[in-house]
Amino acid sequence: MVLILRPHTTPIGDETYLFLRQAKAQYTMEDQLSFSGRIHSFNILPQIIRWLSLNGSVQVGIIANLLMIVLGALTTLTFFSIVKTLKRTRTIAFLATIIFVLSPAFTYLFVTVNKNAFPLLLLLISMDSMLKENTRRANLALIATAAFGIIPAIVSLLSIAIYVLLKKEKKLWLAGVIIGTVIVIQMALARTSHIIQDTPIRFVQTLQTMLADMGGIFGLNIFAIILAIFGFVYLWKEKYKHSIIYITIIVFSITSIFIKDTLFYLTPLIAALAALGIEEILKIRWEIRLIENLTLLVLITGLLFSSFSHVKALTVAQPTDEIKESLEFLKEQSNQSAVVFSDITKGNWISAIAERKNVWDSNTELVRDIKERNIDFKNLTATRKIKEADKVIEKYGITHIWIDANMKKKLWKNEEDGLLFLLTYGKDFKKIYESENTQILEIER
Amino acid sequence: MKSYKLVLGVFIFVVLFRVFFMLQTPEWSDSNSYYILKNIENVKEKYAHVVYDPLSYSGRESVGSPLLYYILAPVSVIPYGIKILTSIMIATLVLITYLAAKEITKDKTAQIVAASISGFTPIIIRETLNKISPYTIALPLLFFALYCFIKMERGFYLNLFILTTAILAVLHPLAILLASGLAVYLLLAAVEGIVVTKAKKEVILFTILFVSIIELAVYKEAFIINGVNAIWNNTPMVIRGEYFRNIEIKDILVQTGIVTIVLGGIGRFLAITKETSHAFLTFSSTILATSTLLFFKVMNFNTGVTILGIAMATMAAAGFERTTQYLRLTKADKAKHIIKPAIVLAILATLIVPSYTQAEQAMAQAVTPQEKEALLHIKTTAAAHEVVAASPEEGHYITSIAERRNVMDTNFMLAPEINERYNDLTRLFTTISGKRAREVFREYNVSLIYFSDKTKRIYNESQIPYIDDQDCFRKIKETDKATVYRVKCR
Repeated sequence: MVLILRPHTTPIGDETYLFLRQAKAQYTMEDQLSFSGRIHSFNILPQIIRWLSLNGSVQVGIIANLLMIVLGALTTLTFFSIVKTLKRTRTIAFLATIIFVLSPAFTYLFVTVNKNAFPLLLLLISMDSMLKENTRRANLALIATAAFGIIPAIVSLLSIAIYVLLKKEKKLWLAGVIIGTVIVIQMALARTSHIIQDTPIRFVQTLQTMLADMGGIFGLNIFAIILAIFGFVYLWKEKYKHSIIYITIIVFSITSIFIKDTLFYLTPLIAALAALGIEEILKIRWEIRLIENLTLLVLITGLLFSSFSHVKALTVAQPTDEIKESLEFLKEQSNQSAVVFSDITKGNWISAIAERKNVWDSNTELVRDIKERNIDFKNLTATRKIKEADKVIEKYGITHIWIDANMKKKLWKNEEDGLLFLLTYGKDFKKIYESENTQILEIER
Repeated sequence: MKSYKLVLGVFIFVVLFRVFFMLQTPEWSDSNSYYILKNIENVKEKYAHVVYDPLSYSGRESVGSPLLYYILAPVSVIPYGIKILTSIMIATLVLITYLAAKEITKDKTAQIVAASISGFTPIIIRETLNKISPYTIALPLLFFALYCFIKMERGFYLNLFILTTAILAVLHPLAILLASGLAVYLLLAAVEGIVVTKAKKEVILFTILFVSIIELAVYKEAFIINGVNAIWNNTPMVIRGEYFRNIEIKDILVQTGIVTIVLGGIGRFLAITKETSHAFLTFSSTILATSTLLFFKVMNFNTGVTILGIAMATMAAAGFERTTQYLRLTKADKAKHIIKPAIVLAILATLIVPSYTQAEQAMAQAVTPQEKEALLHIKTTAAAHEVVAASPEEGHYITSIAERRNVMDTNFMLAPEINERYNDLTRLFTTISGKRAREVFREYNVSLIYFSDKTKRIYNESQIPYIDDQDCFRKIKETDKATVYRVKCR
């Protein structure tokens, strides 16, 4: 639906461009464009896309989209199977699946090329396997998650830890050991432990990220949470039996404050609980029939409203065709060695569409000097002094600056604030491209 | 005389009291009324409210419920229709308080006293007299919903409660207070050991969910763009303290009236100690929820005190009844024919006199003919694209009367760079440096300055410090109350 309604031809998201770029090339340990050259954390997803596209013979974009659709369908079926096994009623399983599919996290996960899509399916498969007492399949599925980057591996490790500690069973020890080893090896290779965000955690921003209704791009739906509370009440009758669910939700919720991708893994749990919540509401003997019907109507409307407004937001999400055109211009007009400075959220577009080196991008896993780059970024965008700007420009060998309207809104108060002042009046900066919302400046040396 | 006739008399008196003042001028007492008026005109002409306002903040999106514009648009065709309708609407608080007081006490005098107090609470007069405000409808709706909740056992009142809550939720975020007040009701009932019927619990749950979805739908964009600041209406940090300030007993006493607080306080004390009826509990919960929101500074102080005033007026019925009962036990009983009317007269005197003063003050805030003359001069002489600098409190005058672009107004929600704009505007009117002022003119493309007696009071400046530079500024209109300058150099 998002892809049909979208007025732009460009794929949605930031990470999408990283994986599509990697899928187009042979795998190497080093990425020459990201952070102007770095070791990247291992992720098998681009390689899978590459294999499926017969080494690039078929357009990787189309293959990636098809793959995501298939993954979405498989995830839905697996989730349905789990809830059905747990509850043994088709209605609840069906309801839970609908709530899951309508969730912003699900929509985002399968309309972008996302590193969490495969691991979520694998985690669900492992859960399904455990329910069907197939430990070997569960172990294999869990181990496979480690091939999709450090964050999915950490989530798997957490799940295993919760299971082992609460169930006091060692069935998943093998997966735990292998995943742990993979994480340690990756960190050792990159000589850093940087995984989680360095920026201070602010309550409001965290809340906004975690709740789709407050603007979180793949946050939780408030109405699903309200229904899940009813589900919680429902399960509380046998609280000791369901302690694993409570602990998992608490652990994943806390983890998502530091690693927001955890929200993808929290969503199916909330969806299942929300379905139980609906069952609980229906079970209650309501004294006022009108209120019962209105309450259900409000909750369902809330869920739908939340989902559709999220779909609407995704259809117009960046990058737009205008952004793509400006980056294609940059590709034509710059040398292959050019280094482009922009906001962290634009880095992957620069490297994928313009095929040029970026100063930084959002794939910050295992990047050693991320803090330093963040400080340099802030200094460069805030300064009106050419000497200060030159320091950062020379440090990273920046040759071009790419700016869009979003960046202007986020970073500067007016056209003469900070770096914008230098870009307007500094003689070293030459505007080589301008459209309604984007501009590219070349640094003349 | 039957009590309902007396209450009708009070109701009519309150309406006449308000209309008497409001008809003294065709203008309104705050600039926000003009913003609402502009929307009403838009509804009348184009059958739609303003979604994108090209004049406010020199162009911005609007947010909030438009229901008020659609309610008032049909009556605006009648001369003074809006003034009369809003007076009647807010005066219905008298009838609602009377009905609620009937649930609290059987003493007819006490019921009428409570109704009269709600009609003449000074802060209600100050906040709503000669102003087009959503509160003129939202406040009666809030208290009527509470009354329906008390009487909910009868199906008729349940339907009325649902209808009232639905209108309130769509009209104004005050519905959040209704929902949180009912949640507090559940808590208090549990503490007091009062049995709450299952039906009431169901209704409370529904109200919380319904209000959440509506407010989320209306204010979602505001939350996404303004984040948590949306709770404070995105009010600039410098003046946030004025809008959302600490609870000060002195302010509450002055603004709600000493009698309201004393009698309401006795009623509230009874609610805690002796009386445990659902009616008591409902109003106690509203008072508690409002006080909590005020304490955490997430509710506009004036709005909070207004609600406290009305809730306390209702509770005052019990306070009055108990006070007169107590007096009967004392020697004062011998003069009972004098004492009761004397108390009633004292109550009315302590309310009507401050209310009259508040009404006069509210009317003094209305746009004067001289100010209007200056604003109309801008309308006739300035080009359509020109930006006029005025204080935020007068911003809507620029967009609605002068029909030109402003730098900012009091519609803060979704407004761009709110703190910077507020500070820049303050700088524009107070700096002694013409150079610094020119930076502001340049930044916001200011062509004209509107400087009135109100602006002088707001910025505590008798004139703009750098305005004597005749090379840069030319006085194009001067009246007794306002001056308009053209900016020649930026």
